[in-house]
Amino acid sequence: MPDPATNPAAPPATTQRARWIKYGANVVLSCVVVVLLAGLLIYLGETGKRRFDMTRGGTFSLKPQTLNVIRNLKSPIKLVSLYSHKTNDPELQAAQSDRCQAVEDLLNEYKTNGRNIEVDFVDPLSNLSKKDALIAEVSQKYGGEVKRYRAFLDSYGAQYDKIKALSDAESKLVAELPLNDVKSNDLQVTLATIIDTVRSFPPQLDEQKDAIDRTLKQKLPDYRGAVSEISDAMEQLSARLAAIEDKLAKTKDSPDVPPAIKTYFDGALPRYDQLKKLADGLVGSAKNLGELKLDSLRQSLRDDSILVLGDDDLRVIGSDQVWSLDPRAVKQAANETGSGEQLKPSFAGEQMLTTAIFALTQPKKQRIVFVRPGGGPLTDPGLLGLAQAGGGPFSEIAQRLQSYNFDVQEKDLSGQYAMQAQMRGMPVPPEPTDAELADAIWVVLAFPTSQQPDQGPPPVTGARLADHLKAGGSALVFPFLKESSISEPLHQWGIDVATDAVAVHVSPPESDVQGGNQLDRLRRVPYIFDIRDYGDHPITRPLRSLASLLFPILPVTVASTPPQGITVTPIIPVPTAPQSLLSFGKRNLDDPNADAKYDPSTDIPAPFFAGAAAEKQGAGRLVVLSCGEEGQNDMLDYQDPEMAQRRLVVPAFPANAELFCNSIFWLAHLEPMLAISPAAMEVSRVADMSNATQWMWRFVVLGGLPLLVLVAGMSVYFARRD
Amino acid sequence: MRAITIARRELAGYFRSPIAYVALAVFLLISGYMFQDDFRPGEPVGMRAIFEQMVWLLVFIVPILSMGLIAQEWATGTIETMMTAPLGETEVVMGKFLGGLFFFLVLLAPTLLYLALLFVYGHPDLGPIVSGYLGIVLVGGLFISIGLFCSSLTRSQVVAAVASAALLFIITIVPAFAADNASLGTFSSKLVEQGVLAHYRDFSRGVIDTGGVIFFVACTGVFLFFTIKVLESRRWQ
Repeated sequence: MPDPATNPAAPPATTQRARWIKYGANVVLSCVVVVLLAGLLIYLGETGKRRFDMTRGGTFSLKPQTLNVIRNLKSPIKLVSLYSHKTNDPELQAAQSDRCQAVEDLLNEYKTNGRNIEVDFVDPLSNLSKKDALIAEVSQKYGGEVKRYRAFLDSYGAQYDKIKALSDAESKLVAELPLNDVKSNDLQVTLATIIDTVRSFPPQLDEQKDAIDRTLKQKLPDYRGAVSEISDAMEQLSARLAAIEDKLAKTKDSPDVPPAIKTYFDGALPRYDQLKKLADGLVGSAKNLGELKLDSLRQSLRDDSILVLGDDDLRVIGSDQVWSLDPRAVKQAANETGSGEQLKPSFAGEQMLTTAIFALTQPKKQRIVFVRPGGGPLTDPGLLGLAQAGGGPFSEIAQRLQSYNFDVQEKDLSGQYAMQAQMRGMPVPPEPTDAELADAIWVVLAFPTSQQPDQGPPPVTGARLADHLKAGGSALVFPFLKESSISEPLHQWGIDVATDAVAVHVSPPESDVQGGNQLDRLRRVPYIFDIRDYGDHPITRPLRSLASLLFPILPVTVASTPPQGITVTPIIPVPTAPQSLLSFGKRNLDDPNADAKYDPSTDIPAPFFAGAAAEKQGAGRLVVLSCGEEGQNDMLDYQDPEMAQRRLVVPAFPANAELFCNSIFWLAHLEPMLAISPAAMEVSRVADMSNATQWMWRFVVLGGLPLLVLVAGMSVYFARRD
Repeated sequence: MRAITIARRELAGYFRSPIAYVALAVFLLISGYMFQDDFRPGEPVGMRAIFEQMVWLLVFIVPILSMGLIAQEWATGTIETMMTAPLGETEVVMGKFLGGLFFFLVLLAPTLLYLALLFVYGHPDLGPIVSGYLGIVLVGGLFISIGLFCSSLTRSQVVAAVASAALLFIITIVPAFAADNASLGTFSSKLVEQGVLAHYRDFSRGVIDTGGVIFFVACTGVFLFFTIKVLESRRWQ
């Protein structure tokens, strides 16, 4: 290296420190650049990432319906899993772990694929700090209602003091009444009852106050519980006071009542009235408080639930909504059969979550009104919510629509059911007002109200439907056989329904008659069709290849040149030859199970359809589904027999419910919701093996393999040593 | 190509070392124990449980495998030979890394027996298993690169092992526990989401996330770059 001392042109010698600074700075700078580049790469990777679901059944792929909803969320949604990994029953631990895992996976998918979605996992049994934080968050977010409840409870104190003071005073007064001066035994008993009742007020009020105080002292105060207790106590008090007033009114003028007691009763009636008014006032205030979100949280913390928290409302999805079978029920079934075989629950988590998110993000509830020409309610849930216990035939689809945040009501055009109910002293179901009816989507069940068309009052369904559509309303119409009043309003939209014919197909060849499962035998019946292609319309496109059971189908055709301003599309083509058995619209069908023979003079030739969808420019929409049994409970509840043999709970005709709901979504201009709902999932499991086999493999895996490796290592060691 | 030669030499070195056999035996013993969760009659046929738990095991196994990659060269004095050979630092580091990675694959190979057992006693879905193995290899690659970096910083293999185990602990286990903490702010939550387990989770479930792949590859690249810089710094010190 040239010496700067002897060669002035040579560069000056660098010290070690200078070299370190020069090269060190270079290293630091390059490291910082690399880290930043890596960070940028990771950020870009996260932003534009693609996910490939490698599972066979697309377990971690959300359905298009869900993606449509969660990718366009404008307001934030938080999903909280409250599933606990622990369970008291060791035999149910594995099932519980599976359930927790499935829910966690699902929530993570929502977070990954959605916009504005936050996810959290809180185990209420083991993660107490998170549970407390959740309670605080919910209390603060939905605190408005808690304030109302708190205000009521705060004001109750003063009211309670008044009621207590009045009842204490009355109790003292009645204690001094000369009951022994009453000669008549009956009167004595009556008066004694009154006196005992009044004297019991103060201790009962004290007991109730203690109970309310205990309720409020819980970590998550049960405001709703406290208000319910107050309301119940005051209702009880009011009822007893009313009974006392009634008895007093009847007995106070009796000549057998001693003067002292009569004087007391004359003065007491206004005081009892005042006491009753105080109690009634509290009851009325309690009823006006409305729903309390905190109570929903309290319920969800008790059981496995999923909380969906929106901006100003929350939904609780219980485990019974997500899992069709409770693990305890599965275990019980296995114990009863004794075979060890277990029923497998279906998982409806995605369906319930998407529904809840959708409901929370809609600004206003769309109203749906089931319009019927007469008869009993169609959407009544029945006793305890069981359609089998007196519920209406459309109760399940109505519940489903309610879960989608639709407001479902009914209208009886004849008004007769309400009159009959009133005469029998039964509660009359509320019906929408005319304004509400005009604004709603109608579901018209146009069934005949009389077996003899020329008897009974003329049907009004058609006329009312025509008015509704003319005013810009939308409707889903189910025409029925022998009810022709709706033909004209539908014709004005370019849709023609043959209400005097039923679509049938010829009998299958003899060779095809034998064998097959239950559903195959059902589809051989002339008026039952196996339809998998539902046509090309937004309502029906997502349903392709889904199974359905649609009958009886009334032939529907559409005008080749529809009325001006109306676009009409036929849907659900009825299969016919050559792709399928020859079908036609059979008039004069006396025996539905008889072999169908085509009569060219009267019958309607194919092709025709089982429905149509029409849209009027600047006005409403209309969907016609000419298969009256389509959305009824029986169709929705029918289980797939093959899956049932494998102990899986899967609906046999999923397209029935989807067709109904999609029609409603389309009528309500909710196109993003038009897709297949999530289906049940199936998991393959490790086969049974004997204990000996299990232990053998355990030995191989835990002992054999590691031992083999150690032996190999020792061989190499000794070989190298030598 | 010279990197491959170094990798082959490293791999052969592993098989001559008793520590590698012990580490392999311990790994198989513990992973075999974990496999019992997946291999019970009635359990879903898959290797999800073992894939999820294996990462925790690798936090302690990989530092043992990678501690001697460069530190041993310093301790035995062969570092001088290596540094004066006509090899760039990049080739040396890549060779060491690939050698470690190949041995890691050898470590995983016996677990294919578990897969064979699942095929015999069930109908496993191959997709999640493939994605699980891919995820584990990506995690292993990252851990080896971190182990290699720590090994390059010191002459002592023990110090290298402890340092890399600590670093792996911080990026893997700490965020997993912190995720359960209710009082994390937004920034902390975001930081916790960058932990290894958060990016690996999808692979173990059966989802290949390109974001996760990029994360692991990018982080592995960063630590390999750091290692190269450490070796380069030896020259001008």
